[in-house]
Amino acid sequence: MAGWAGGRSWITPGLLLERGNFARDVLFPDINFIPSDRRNGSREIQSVARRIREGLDITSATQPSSIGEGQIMAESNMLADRDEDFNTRYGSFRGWQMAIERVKPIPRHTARLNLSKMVMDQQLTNTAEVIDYFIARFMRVAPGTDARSMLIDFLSNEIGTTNIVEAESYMEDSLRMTLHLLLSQPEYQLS
Amino acid sequence: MKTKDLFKDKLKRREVLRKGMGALGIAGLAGSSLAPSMFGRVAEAAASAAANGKILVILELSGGNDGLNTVVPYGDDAYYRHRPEIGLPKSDLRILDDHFGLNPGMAGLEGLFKDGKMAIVHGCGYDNPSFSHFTSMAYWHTAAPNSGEEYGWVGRLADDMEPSAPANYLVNVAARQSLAVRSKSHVPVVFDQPNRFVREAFHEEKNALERVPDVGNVDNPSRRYLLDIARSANDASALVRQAWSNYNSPVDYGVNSLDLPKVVSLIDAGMPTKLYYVSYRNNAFDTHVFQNNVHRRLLTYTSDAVAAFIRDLERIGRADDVALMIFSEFGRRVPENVSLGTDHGAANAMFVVGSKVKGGHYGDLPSLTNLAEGDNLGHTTDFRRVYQTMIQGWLGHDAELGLLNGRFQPFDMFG
Repeated sequence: MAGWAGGRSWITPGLLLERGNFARDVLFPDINFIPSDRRNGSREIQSVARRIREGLDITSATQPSSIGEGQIMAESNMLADRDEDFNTRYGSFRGWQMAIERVKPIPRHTARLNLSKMVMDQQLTNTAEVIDYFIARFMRVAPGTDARSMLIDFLSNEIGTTNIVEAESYMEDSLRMTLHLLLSQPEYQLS
Repeated sequence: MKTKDLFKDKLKRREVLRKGMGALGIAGLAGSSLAPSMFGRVAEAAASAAANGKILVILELSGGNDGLNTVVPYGDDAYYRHRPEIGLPKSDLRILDDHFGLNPGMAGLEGLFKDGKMAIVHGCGYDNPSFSHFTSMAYWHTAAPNSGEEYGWVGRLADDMEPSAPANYLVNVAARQSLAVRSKSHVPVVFDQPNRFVREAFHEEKNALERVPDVGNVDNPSRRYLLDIARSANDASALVRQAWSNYNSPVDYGVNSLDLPKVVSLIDAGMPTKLYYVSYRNNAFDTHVFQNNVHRRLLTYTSDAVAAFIRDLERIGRADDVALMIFSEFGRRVPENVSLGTDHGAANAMFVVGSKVKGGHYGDLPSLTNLAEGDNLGHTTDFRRVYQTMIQGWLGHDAELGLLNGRFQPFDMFG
């Protein structure tokens, strides 16, 4: 078997964005999130389910739905119809139908965060101190000074002051956005 | 808005910004080597892609494809002597001529061969072959057999073709970056799922997240690398995602599309990319046991995806601009093993597909009776000769000597 490629190949532009998005999901849970253990994401299986509920016979309901009018069907899709002992598209649909009745949903909880309390407990007083505290707490390699200034400006602008004591009652969302920006800095990947 | 328009608008906006800043003579930016070139990059790349519209796509079949059961030399009795159990009988094959037949699963590639759009290059390999997936793949990735190279051959090719390293010149659809595309100057666009290749952010955060980090005075190499990755993500993600959401093809790619529809979506959207790299992932072709059924299926999926890719390119009117090169890190041993499979071998067939390809057989046939060490096929063609064919014959690039660590005569493969 091939082994770990090593070096820096693990981080890609695609993964960098996904990791930043994950941080956002933790800080700002998405209320539209549908767990994948409750809903099948495959358009093909969804389409079979819909057609069967609409009353189509199994052969018509399990025709591949993505192939355009007058297009050649791929050999692998033809094989699924012709050579298998059973119809795999119907099998996938039935499998999901049975699974949804049996699978216990995974309990999911949002993170319990209170960044306002976190910074007040540290007895910080201004936005620059907050950024320096976040950098020290979350980053192993500090981002550049330009990023630090950007974060201080961002937080000060969001809460309308540099004095966090004044903003204590309403700064939670602003702190979370600031932390999201910090965790989206490329340097966070070195933590 | 269509992606093409989006792309043009972005170009215009950047062009205006660039000129605007030049006209105003903003001193702050003049001190940064990065900012002005950033704005010019997309424009430069679009211009060079227009000058020679040729695009090279590389498909890697990971795991070591069994070339002998892919392009079967049914006319040679020795094949059946070496493979009494897993040898494919002539009656099952898709006959190409009086010596070769394709694996029965390969309807798509049979069609392309018979339309004269597929070249088969026999006996590709290198001296002192490695039987390790990892090592041999690294040799193919770097075009440096039995030695080492820091950068991949596709990455070095990009450096040689476009030293100014415009954005989005090199795309690798993958979960992790291939060594083949690792480049000194370019930052390859690497993504897996286009719909997830997006920075999710609130309105207030957008400006802060689009900030381009200044790599100029960073000396920590890991940090510098990450800033480059971030820049590539900024440059590419909106275009890739837009291209993918606009892409809606009626073509049937079958069970495993091998990321080729993503390539078509980007070509159709007018991305300035010249070099694309995709793979059949996860060591799929490593068929040590009971190989015939699984190998046939793997070839069917590959063949479906490649044939669909060509039809899809025809649909968008870009078939003449694209050639696809297919390789694997090694072939498999000539005699079958006791588990009805085959073990790691040496020389192998490579494929080049495209509407401008002069179809047919290339390279000398390796002998099935006079085997190389370890019961393997001896190579008759250095694999880098095929790379050279793609560089010189297809892309029309006069590569710097030493790019492939040797001098190789290209095949006359393109009409």
